[in-house]
Amino acid sequence: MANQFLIKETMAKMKELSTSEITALQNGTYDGVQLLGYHKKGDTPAPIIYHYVDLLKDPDPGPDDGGSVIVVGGIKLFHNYVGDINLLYFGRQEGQVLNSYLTKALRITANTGSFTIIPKGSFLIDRSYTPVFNARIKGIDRNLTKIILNPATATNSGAF
Amino acid sequence: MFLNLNGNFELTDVELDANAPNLSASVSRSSGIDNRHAVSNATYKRLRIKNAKTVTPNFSGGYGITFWHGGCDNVTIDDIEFENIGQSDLGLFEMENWTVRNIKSKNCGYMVINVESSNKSRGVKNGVVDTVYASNVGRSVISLIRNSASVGDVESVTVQNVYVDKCGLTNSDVGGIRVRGTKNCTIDNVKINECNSIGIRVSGDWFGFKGTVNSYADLASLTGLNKGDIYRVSSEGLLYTYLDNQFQQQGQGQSQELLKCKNLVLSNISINKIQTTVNGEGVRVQGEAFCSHDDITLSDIYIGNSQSTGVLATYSNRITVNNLKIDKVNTS
Repeated sequence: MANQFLIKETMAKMKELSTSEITALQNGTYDGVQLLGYHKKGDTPAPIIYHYVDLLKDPDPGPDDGGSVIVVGGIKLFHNYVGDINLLYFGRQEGQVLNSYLTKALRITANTGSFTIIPKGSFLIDRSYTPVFNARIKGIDRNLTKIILNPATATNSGAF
Repeated sequence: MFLNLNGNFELTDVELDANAPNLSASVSRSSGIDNRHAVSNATYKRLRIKNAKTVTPNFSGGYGITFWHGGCDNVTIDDIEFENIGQSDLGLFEMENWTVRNIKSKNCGYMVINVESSNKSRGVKNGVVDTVYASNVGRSVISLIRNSASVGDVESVTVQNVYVDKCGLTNSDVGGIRVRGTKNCTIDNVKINECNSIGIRVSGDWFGFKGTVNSYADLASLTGLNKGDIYRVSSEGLLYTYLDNQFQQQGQGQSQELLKCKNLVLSNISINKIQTTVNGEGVRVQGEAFCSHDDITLSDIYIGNSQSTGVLATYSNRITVNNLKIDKVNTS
């Protein structure tokens, strides 16, 4: 039954796929999982579809990065981002440190001309964050997207 | 916060808060964006960068955006708001082919835009600064200077459309706009409401110059010498630099060649009020320690309510002043 998708409201629920659901993905009953939000339904810009990766036929998309590759129950689900990536798809929430998730998203958008988008809200960043080559980062608006130096990483050297 | 060490970096539509007011005094020198390693292509648009000023006032905090340690070429900076930056809002030290447009600055502790070829620099060249609104500036709004130890030039830089409320608040000498040792630079359409310093200072500092002796033999009697010290031997009219434990003849005028301004145009300058009790010229074009400038044009200059000299020009060659207007020069 091609082009049928399991539907999950949150990432947590997607990572709790049952044995029968995993079997259904493996045998082709479902092509993948449609995710309606990350922490709660509707908290991402739009639902996205994670496809089942048949590692016997398809290239390995890499380790679980919390946004494009999800490992659950011994299988891998993969969403192929095309265009800009909003960090909401990686589950970023206000007050959290951006660094590692920025890097995960930038590894996908770099060299494509697309942006990694930091959502509305205030976020921390550890000092001296170095983006990958060909990185494009944008917020929603300078009055809406705020990046604050993480005090735990500050020094007295004037370091960036 | 951000280090661009790889090139091809674009950042837009965010506020960067360096968070200095909330940091302890021991770790409070945070900064915004640092470009280095001679990378290429950086774009910064529609940003607000703030709070790099520590609790210690003035020249004590971090930068807004800098380009140094190799810097970056092909740079676009457009529509940036700086608030409460301790050092320079923009430190442009090593870069070529760049544009800075639409800058708003509040409460900068040091210089809003510091274009300065630094040590081991390849220079700062082919740049435009267009449209700057600044208020409450600690030192200069614009600084175009060749560092005394630089091997690079500040060359072919145009600064235009600069509007300032108050500048020079914590330094009465550096100048609202400062120029030194530049080549082929233009500063056009600057309006300063109140300057607590020299309005525009074009200087020819000669770092390393230590003094004059009568004869070459007198050099041998000097003590406490450091590498780079320069003395003039008056009987010969020549300069000698102390290098490798001996004096080497530099010839007359070598240092002045490095730090003189060549082909500098200052036009459409309006300074409403010079508000200081020392060094309060509206415009000072001055050579210092044998340094003279070549081909400087001042046109359409308005100085109002100066407490000192309106325009002071000395030690310079071929200075042209056109349409100079000085109003209410109040000296004491």
